[in-house]
Amino acid sequence: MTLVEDPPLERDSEWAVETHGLTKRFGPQVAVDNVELLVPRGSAFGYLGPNGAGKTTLIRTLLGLTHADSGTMSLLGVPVPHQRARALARVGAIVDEPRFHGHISGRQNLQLLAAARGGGAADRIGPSLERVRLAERADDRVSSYSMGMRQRLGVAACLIGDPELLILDEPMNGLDPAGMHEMREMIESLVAEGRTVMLSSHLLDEVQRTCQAVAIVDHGRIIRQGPIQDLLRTANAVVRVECADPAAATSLLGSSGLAERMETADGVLSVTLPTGSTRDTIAEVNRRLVEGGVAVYGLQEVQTSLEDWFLSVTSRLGEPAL
Amino acid sequence: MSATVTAPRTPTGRLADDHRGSWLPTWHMITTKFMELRKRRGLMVAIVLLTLALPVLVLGLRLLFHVIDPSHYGPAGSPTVFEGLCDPIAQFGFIIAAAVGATAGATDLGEGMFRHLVITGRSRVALFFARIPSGLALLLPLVAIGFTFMCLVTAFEGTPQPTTVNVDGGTIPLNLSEGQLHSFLLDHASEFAGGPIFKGPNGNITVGPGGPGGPGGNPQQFIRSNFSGIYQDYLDAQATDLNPPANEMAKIGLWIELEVTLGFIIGLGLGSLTGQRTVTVIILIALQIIVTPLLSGTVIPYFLDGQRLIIGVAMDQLRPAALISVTGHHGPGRAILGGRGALGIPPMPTWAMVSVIVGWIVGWTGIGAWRMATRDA
Repeated sequence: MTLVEDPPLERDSEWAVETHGLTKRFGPQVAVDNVELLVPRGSAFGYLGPNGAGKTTLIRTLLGLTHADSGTMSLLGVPVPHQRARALARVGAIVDEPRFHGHISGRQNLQLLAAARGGGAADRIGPSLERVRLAERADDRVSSYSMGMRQRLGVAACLIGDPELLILDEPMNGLDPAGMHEMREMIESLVAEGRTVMLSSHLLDEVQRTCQAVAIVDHGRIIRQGPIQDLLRTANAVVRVECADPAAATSLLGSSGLAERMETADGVLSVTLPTGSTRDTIAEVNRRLVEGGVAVYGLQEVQTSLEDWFLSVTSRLGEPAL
Repeated sequence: MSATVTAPRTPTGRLADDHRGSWLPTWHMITTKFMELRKRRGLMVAIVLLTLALPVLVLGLRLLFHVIDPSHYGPAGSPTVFEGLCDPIAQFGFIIAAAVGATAGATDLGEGMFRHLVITGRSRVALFFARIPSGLALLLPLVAIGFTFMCLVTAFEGTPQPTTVNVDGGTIPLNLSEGQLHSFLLDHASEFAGGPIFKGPNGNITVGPGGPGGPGGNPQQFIRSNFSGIYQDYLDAQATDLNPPANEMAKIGLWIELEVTLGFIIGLGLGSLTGQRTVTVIILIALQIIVTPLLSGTVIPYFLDGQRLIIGVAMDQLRPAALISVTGHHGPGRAILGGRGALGIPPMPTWAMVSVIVGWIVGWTGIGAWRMATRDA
């Protein structure tokens, strides 16, 4: 087993989070498997994966909540765990469900955290509560808070450290649509201030709307990472074909090599084109069908969503896990 | 295959170069932790009931009855009541302190706050050490207030104090030190010769002018050889008939505060180790009210040194002299607070007793700090 070794020197890294060969095991099970993760500074970065893929474990390892078995990692260019205290001084994080002492108020919970952070954290309690729109309930006991309010308190707990990097694990959990909208706006505003937000979420639509880049993790390994638009470009194009005889069309296209996969639903044929297909390929599909005697009423290229792409690249295709 | 990730360059924020890696907690960490513990209503009610309410209730009622009907109800304070309250306060103090320690050690973890605290980058050991002054600041003043109330009632609303004490039929001035008593007995040996004081420990040895066992014996020789037993009788008589003097009260107060401190530290260490408040409290109650009385009351062959490692055994040996009579038995040992211990087993040397007490404090503090530093959050 390789021991965790820190990079020898701190450097002005272009990456907010950088891991190399990071591995974490629980007995025989590998929860984080040789992860190479690069999160660019000053962006919103989505960290996606099915349930049990190892997302939270990686975040916990980055934050020093649990120890890695091997590999190197750094936050804001500062090696961790070697200089963990120094790195975490500019990091805020929510891991799993945000839980606090229920018998004291939200403000008092933040006072506990501000005392641990030191510096000017105590002075930022009020503004942080204002920013997450929790000021009016700040002096109520946390036990009376809804899940959404606790999520917002968790974000306020991050903000009192004036973090350069925020790591948010499922921050949309428990939020109603308005709360999700507020959270999305907040993340956008944090990024606009030059901070980096690393966002782990199941809500792919929210990630697509919020983040510029993503990494997909499955079975502890990162299987794709990069800007969302670049990744979606690599997805197979899908064409919806409305025609007089879907069965004949399926037969024709199946023997032509133009389709990688075909499905018929409600009389509409969905044709998944091979990787690297262009708009000319779609024209070729139309030509083959017409020449084969199938009347074509319409052809429409379907825009691949992050969710479609996610399902196509993860091993959980077809599972209702999300 | 990973696509290319472009990294927009942003100015690197200044990374804090503070002392959050230090294992020493800050003043604010201590005060906020104190606030968190103080806000636990159930715990506070239990602390007040077990440390403050007990003496206030007992002595308050006695004061009230005495004021209403002094012919039937004597003064509120008396040496017997004082001693009778000290033991429950020490016992309950240990148990409630263990509960506070277990709460301080386990609830951050159980209530999900430990993770937030670790993410601040603050040293986990500092987080642990902040709990010690916070918890003790909650407990010790309340115990001190309750005990001070007992002392004041005993001193100012107590029974009139005699100037002499009767020991085995002899009259001896009060508040003599061990050396003073020894000198007094030797100086007045002839006055006491033939009196009951010169009966041996079993009461069968008659000391006449001729000395122990028959004519020609020397009373001064008898005093020298039996002084230990006579001194204990003198202390017992004083404890029964007299209010403890101020210095003895101070020793008792310190002993009770040490008992409370130990309960807290052990509860904190065990709570941090297990992460379970309830389990910790149950274990420590069992230690205090079952294990300790069993092991301090009976000699187990070949296990005597093991018995002496129990904290309650060492604390019993440290018990101040003025508290001995209430237990009804005392050991032959000597201790730094002047007591001879209330042990039913042979005492250990003073250095060993001090080592056991210090060992429990340092050991449980170390165990708690180690578990905090290594635990997955």
